Amino acid sequence: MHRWKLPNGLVVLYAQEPGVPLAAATLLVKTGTIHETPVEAGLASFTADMLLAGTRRRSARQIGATIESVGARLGIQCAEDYSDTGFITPIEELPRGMEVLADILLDPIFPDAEIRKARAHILASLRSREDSIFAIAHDRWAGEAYGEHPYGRPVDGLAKTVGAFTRDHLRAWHRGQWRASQAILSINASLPPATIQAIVADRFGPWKSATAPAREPPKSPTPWTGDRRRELSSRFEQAYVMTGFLAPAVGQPNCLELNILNTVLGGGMSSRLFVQLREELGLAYEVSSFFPTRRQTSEWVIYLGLSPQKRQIATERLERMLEAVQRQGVTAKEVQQAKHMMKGSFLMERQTRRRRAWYAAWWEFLGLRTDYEHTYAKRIDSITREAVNAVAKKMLAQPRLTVDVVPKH
Amino acid sequence: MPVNKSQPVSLAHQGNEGDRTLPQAAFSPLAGLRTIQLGNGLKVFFQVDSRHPLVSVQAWVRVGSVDESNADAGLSHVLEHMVFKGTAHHQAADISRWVESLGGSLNAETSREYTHYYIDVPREGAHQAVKLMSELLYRAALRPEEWQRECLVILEEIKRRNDDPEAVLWDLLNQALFKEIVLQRPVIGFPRTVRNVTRERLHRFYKDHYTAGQTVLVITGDVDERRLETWVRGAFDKMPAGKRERARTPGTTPPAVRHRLMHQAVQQSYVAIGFRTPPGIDPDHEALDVLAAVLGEGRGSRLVHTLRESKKLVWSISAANLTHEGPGVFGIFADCEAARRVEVTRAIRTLLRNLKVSPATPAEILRAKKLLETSWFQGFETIHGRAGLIGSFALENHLERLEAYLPRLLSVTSRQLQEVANRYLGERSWSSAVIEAA
Repeated sequence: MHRWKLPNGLVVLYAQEPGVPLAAATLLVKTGTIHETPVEAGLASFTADMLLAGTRRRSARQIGATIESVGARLGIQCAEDYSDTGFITPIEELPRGMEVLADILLDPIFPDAEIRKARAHILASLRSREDSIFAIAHDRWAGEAYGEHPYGRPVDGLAKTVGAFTRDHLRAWHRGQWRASQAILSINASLPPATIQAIVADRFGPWKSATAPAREPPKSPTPWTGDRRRELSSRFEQAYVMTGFLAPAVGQPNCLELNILNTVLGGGMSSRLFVQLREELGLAYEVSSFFPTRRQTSEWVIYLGLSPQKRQIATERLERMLEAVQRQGVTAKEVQQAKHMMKGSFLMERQTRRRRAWYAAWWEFLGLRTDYEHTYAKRIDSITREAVNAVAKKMLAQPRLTVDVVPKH
Repeated sequence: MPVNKSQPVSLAHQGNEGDRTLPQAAFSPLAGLRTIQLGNGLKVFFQVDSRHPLVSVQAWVRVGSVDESNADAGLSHVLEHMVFKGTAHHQAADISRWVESLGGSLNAETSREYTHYYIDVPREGAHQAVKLMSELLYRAALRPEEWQRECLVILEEIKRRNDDPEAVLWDLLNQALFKEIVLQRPVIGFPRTVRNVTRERLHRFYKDHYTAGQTVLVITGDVDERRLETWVRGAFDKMPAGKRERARTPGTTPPAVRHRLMHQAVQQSYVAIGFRTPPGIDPDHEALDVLAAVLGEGRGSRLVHTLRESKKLVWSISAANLTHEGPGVFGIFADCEAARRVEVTRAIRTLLRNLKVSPATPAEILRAKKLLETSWFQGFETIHGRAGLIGSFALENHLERLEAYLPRLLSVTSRQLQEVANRYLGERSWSSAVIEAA
């Protein structure tokens, strides 16, 4: 892995790897929902969408046409902690792909007609959250758990804030946040490093670094005291139970232990909760859990999709199972299996140039070492069952927040 | 990995927009591919790739819905489900859990002409995956009590599929395109035929079709070839021999009814236009692939640009050249507001007719080729994708076509596009299907 920095602060990562004659690039900018104030809810995501809507040199249509003419497609995503974009192209087209990428990053013009289109699109997508029982449950859960903290809001924002953004807001966000000094460019191809260096310097050298210091993320949310339970009704015929805790941010102690615990309990068809609640007792049709990697206080959430008649008994069962985990912990066999599964999926996930470029940028963003890939298995293996159970005891003793979604009638 | 190291390149021509490309790198999909044939006729393909410590074990059995009688419609798919429901040595749940617990995945798909199984796992699981695959292929238990349970699952799957307008639209299009019932039928079959499946029938079908001569095994990934060969021989030597001739279905166009309309409780209208194309081995298919991309892949394609971006007639539209061992389908698929449906069909007709007077420009052709080139290479990025491509071409004995595909595609000319458009997409060959609200 080659790593260097341009004078404007852009960090460049290049993995020269054999393989199919394609080249992949990911550009990650350290800006996301987390940097928004409450009135800016959704501005990071809106701005990201608008980068494809026209530059000084190209209309939205021309951006699409040019990128397709090099055999690539370009998409931009905004997440809680970061935004990213990138493409994959036949290797000989990498320079032209990079030219388009640089163009949309450096020179977007935010045309009014495109702003209107994008706004309508975002508002429609916010409305469509009502069509997903998971989104209904999690929006409420996160809102309660995080309060005013940005993790408590959908990345797309809120209808009232999105409705108020003007071209000036978008331009200001772009000017302040989408800066070379805030970005990581990661490339995966088989070309010599000097070639990559030349292309990057040529295209991204003119990118300006930030003039103001980067925005500080807000204070972490304060944990609540005592278990909380909230019920809301929906038009769905099914019911949903979502229960969980605030959890460590990336880099804090206990992350790997909790990852293993999360896999043992809710990771896939062989997980303890899935096997017991769904396979053996038939109490729920959907059983899972998640613990996302976050820069700030994360969440560890377990959820069940089930018929309303079974909610009572399923909830009791779940409580008993969590108590048992807190008291007796998980077994050595379960820990072993979870480790295998995590290591296996880690490998499966990272076969393509596009994913490899993305992960390299992601690890750099998280401040992990460039050899993270090679030490991952060792790190996982070094975690003992006792350590997992100590974390289980501690996590499950925290006050918990539960959201029940039940049918209206 | 079968790739030539790229040459050092110079960026001397940076100033000129048109020259800003690097030399192309060579790539061979078959590099390092080794073939063996067992005594029972099983063909085995290995391609070692040690970049990632993973293996993909895939089997392609030459059986699909074209091999079923009308009374048996859906039997191949039933069998695919039942194969996972336990073998001589393993319970149903153990099979998927073992794979999942390694972080891997296993699954299968049934089509008109083949049934495809795969197990992807970290290399430590390679031997076990080979053994498991052999059990699926000739030691499935097919227990009657499992069939009782699984029958309900499949009936539910049929029901769900009937709620999916795009799946139903595909069935309708095939009814409009072909005279032969066997090409009209959905692969999944019908509730009445699925309900009628007996354990005896299932067993017979398994014995008849899951034989070594009908199967191709492909293994890619990080594994020692010598040991692998020993494992494969150990696991598959006892697989019953046998090869069947498949009855040829020419895919005749029906004489009269070329349009099917169905009313369903849908919000928007779903439209499919289809043209019959020759079997997959026909040399016209690379040109048809390019034509499909010129017409319907990406924002710069004619259909998307004209019907969606400019005229705003459709929510989405695409074109695809779908090949089979037997007759194939060149299809255009769109969904739109109900009120726009007639106008959409007319616009598609006009656009196809215009191909004659305004053939694809060099820029359009280049765009299409580049997009296809990217997806083609992406297909070889994972060990799973590579085993899949090798298997699907090997099953029909056309591995040389896999090697030739990209060079042939890149050499397609504007004149060839014109020729295939005239040959296959003429007004008289037009068939269509529509689903809309009553």
